[in-house]
Amino acid sequence: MTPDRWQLVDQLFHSALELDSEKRTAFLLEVCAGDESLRRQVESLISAHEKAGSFIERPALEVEARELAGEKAPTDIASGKTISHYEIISTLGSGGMGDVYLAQDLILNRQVALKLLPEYFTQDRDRLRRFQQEARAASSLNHPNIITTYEIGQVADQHFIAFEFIDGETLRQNLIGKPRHSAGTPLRMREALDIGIQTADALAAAHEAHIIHRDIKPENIMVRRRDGYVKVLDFGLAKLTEGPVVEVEATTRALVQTSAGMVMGTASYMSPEQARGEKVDVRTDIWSLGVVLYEMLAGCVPFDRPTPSEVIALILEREPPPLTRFARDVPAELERIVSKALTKDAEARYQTAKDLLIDLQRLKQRLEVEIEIQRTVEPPEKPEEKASDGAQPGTVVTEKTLAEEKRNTSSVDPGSHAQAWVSGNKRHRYAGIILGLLAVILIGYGIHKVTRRTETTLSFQSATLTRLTTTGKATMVAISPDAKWVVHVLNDGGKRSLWTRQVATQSNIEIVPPAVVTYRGLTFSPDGNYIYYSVSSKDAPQIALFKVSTLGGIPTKLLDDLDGDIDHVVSATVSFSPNGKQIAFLRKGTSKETALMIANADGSGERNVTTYQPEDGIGFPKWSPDGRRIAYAVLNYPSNKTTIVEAQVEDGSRKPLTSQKWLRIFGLAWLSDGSGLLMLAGRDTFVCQIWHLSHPAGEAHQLTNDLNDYVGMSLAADANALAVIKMEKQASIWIAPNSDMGRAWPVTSGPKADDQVALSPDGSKIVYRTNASGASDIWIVNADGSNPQQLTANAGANVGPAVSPDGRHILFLSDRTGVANIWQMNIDGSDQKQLTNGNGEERPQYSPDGRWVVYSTIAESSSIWRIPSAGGEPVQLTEKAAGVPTVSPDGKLVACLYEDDNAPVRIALVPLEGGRPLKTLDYGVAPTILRWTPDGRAIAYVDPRDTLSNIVARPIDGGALKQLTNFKADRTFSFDWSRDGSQLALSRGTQGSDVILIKYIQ
Amino acid sequence: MKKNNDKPSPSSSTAKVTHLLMAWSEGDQSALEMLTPLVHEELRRLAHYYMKGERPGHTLQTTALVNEAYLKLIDQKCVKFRNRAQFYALAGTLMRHILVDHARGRNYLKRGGGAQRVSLDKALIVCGEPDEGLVALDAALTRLSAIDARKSKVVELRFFGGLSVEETAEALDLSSVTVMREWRMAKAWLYNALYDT
Repeated sequence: MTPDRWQLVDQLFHSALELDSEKRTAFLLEVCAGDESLRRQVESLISAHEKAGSFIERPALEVEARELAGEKAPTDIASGKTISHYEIISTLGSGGMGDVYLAQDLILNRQVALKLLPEYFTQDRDRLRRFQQEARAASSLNHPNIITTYEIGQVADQHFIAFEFIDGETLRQNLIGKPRHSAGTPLRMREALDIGIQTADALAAAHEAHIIHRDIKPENIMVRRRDGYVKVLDFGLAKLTEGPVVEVEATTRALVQTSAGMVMGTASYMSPEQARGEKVDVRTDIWSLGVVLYEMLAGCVPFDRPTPSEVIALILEREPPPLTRFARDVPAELERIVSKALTKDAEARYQTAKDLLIDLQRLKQRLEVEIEIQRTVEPPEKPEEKASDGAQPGTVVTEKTLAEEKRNTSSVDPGSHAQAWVSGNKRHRYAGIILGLLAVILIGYGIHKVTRRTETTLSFQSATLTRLTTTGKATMVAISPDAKWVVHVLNDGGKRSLWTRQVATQSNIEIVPPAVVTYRGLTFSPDGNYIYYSVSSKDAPQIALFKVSTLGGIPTKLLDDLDGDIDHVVSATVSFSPNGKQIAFLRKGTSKETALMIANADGSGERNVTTYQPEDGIGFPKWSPDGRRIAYAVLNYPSNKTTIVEAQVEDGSRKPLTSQKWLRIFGLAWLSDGSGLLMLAGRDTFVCQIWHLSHPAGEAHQLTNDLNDYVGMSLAADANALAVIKMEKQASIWIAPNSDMGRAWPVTSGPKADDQVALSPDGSKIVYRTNASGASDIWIVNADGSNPQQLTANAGANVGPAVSPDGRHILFLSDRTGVANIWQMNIDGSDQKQLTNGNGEERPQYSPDGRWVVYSTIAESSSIWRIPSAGGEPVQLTEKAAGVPTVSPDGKLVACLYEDDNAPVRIALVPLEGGRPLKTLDYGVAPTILRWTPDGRAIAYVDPRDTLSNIVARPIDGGALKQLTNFKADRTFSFDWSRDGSQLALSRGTQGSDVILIKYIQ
Repeated sequence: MKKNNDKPSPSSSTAKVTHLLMAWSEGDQSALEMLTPLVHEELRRLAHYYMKGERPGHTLQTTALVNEAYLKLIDQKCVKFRNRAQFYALAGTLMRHILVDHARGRNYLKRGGGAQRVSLDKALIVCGEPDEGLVALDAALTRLSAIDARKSKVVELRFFGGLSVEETAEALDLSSVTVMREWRMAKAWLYNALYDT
């Protein structure tokens, strides 16, 4: 770049930044007229400016100081060196009490964390002995929340402690590692409560044994990555630092030596009695835990000043700012607990950690019950809304585990640059390149075939796929007509925000900040300058239409009261007339009828085009390129089938566009020449693929047939680019003996989705569905992970396996004939035979005697059926709508989801012979899989209210819901028990959705 | 820069650092080689003590650290006002040199140093510390200096030297407004250089 050019970029960069973001584009277009590369350079710098956040704002010395501080003289310890029988592997970190290394115990052959105590701590033999006593005593408590000390030893002058190696991070790292803020962000309340409870539990146990920690702070609380277990570190270590022992220069001493009784401690967590240098008892730990609780909830410590001496003055004299100043939704009870722990007079404080523990536990239980009540009084929710409820501040269902948080932020989270900077996370930096994959795919061929037949202008030979997001949290997408801009909704724990990206610049910019709302539709104006989006929220359930500049700015509200969705599919999108002057949208009438409306682009001049009665739901209105008609999806509720209809704009007359019907339609778009539409649909399945519908012939062809579920689609008007939201899943099979997840082991692994699992009755073999081969097939593997074998191949999609009670046969679903029917094969995959030939079945299960196969139908209206496993005539078991059957261990009952007319869906127990339900049970929100517990006393399912998808059991005697697992991360996709209940097999993993841009090369 | 009330009396090492800095500023490259270990050791010692009382996430103590580092490094009595700014500028360069070297050496150790290494994943998560960040930034800053030396210098003083906007302005003889402008653009450019691949 020439100096002149650089100066120009510099100048334009600053001039543009002075303008409102809305005006920038226009300004740059004008001043860069004709010089595209100049404009791109400036825009890319502006985008970087907006994203950079705290990047390099903290001096390098601050970041490096930690390292400098822990650094040893060159003669000190290095990797490979052996101390006693520990061989150093690497540095784990350094703290005030010495450096910690990952080391190999050469005798016991296990990894340990080895802490080397600095010499100046260990010179006083008395103190050293007291510390050793205390550390041994704490470790001998054998408490799950207290780190296990293996050895306290000495080689020459080097004192060391070998303790349990925890794969995780300290609460401090967790607090500063939160996205968006380098200076600490509060944890979610449930997370904070969990950590507080576990820490209090550790303290209660220690205090009972008369052991005081003396230095409770986030640096000494470790959170294990695997399961969120908290481990309190460094019991007794504070003993070493009692009394003035460090000789340093006066200036430095003034800053580190804070009072006679306490040196080197972190002032912020000191109790008033510690700060005064008085003798301390167990209540000092309670105070410090109070500070930690406060910090977790508020994101900052209660006594916050730049220097330790000022901090101490505050601790002694001032009350902390009310917690609600930082965290508005903290319940009053929690605020009371924290302030009781932070009472300056030790006599008025909690007297024992046990009391504090009990209060915290009670609060947690109460909050959980409140959520339970809140949930059960609400009608079953739509999937979109479920997540948004989950994000209500102050409720406990918003939990995301530390591990999950960590994982999420390690991908490209637009707000986590500060963190990425600090952690130097490679994955972050390269995620964009690696995932920005460019792949030629078969879809192009598919379109090619179709388009030749229909003689449209589309003649694509191939297509490229580009991943535009990597957060795994994209839920809705729209592409501008010129295919230069893509906007998407990002759902982060129920808080949704809107992001745009200029496709060429590779960066997503947030234009509407996160809020607990549900986006109902997303459309670009024909000129690409504005985004029209519709949203609703729990507080404002009516859907409103907004308009916002593609570059962000203040949104304007245009219309109220739009109609939202058909069935569970969000479809309140607006569509522009070809000249851009009018919009088409949907509105719900007073008696639940839905009207297709048009209005001027500013929302004025509404007019009704046509109205549908309540038995039909309509969605995805799309104005045709000739401007004369509007196509849309119509779901007929009684038949549960969706099709595409068009209405004439002029007179509202309507006509089906095809005779075909689909189970679900998830998106619709006209091809620019009006020769047809693309749609996202599943004919006999809820897993949506891309289809082409010719116009006016009405022939429908499926274009993609991959393993992904597409959940959103937008087509650019010039029809050479399509933006879709693709769901991707990764799942492995685990076996847990006696349902004990602590002893669970992974049977399968790898970047694939092993997401449906069935155990042989003796628990020795696992049959599962996987996409390992690139298609959806059934595999079998021994429970120890050996000998995996593919049982189905090259025969459509094969899913939903179940093993016969004698362990000799496998039931599964296959769509190899074009319809999803039940098939049966031998356990080795031989002799595959079709058992049913209806219009679509699912969830086959054997009766315990092996004579019957029970299943549900998905065509027309869903119901439960059985058929002899040897083949024969199917018998219908339920009259009302029902699904997801599971047969009781005694073979007498079928548990299933059941919908009795207008009553809410419940779990019903129906006799295997058929008939009315003998009993129905509450469950809240629709689970996707039901299983009898092996004792036949409860129905287990993956709790759909729980974002962590734990398994819960609903006793059939009406008892309280019982949680069977305690997962803190990932999702459970399916599970199955062996007959005697000694083995639980689970499919667990992650699922994410991202924006993929499909570009056709002409 | 905030004055430290307990300004330490210049020790012999302080006088030595000042002398070497002056020599370096006059083009004596061998002075840099002698300076580096001295300053490094001083920084290490200071950092060690400051980190003990540190509450992470708060920058003020770092400012104190930087202040004290300068007080230690530079014999205030020997340096006239105008020269002080110049010394800050020099010290910024020196800090960059030392910190980047330090980060580079640490990475080498972290990558195994010849011993058994933990998995990449573990290394990233367990250590959770800056990795190639400083090294990559240093390289990008060198590229920036080829295009726009002044912007590069502003970043060097503010980010590596820990100077405030006003101090940077004084050191480079610019207005604060200009420093802010240069910083803003340089930050965006560097951000793109590092992340927008």
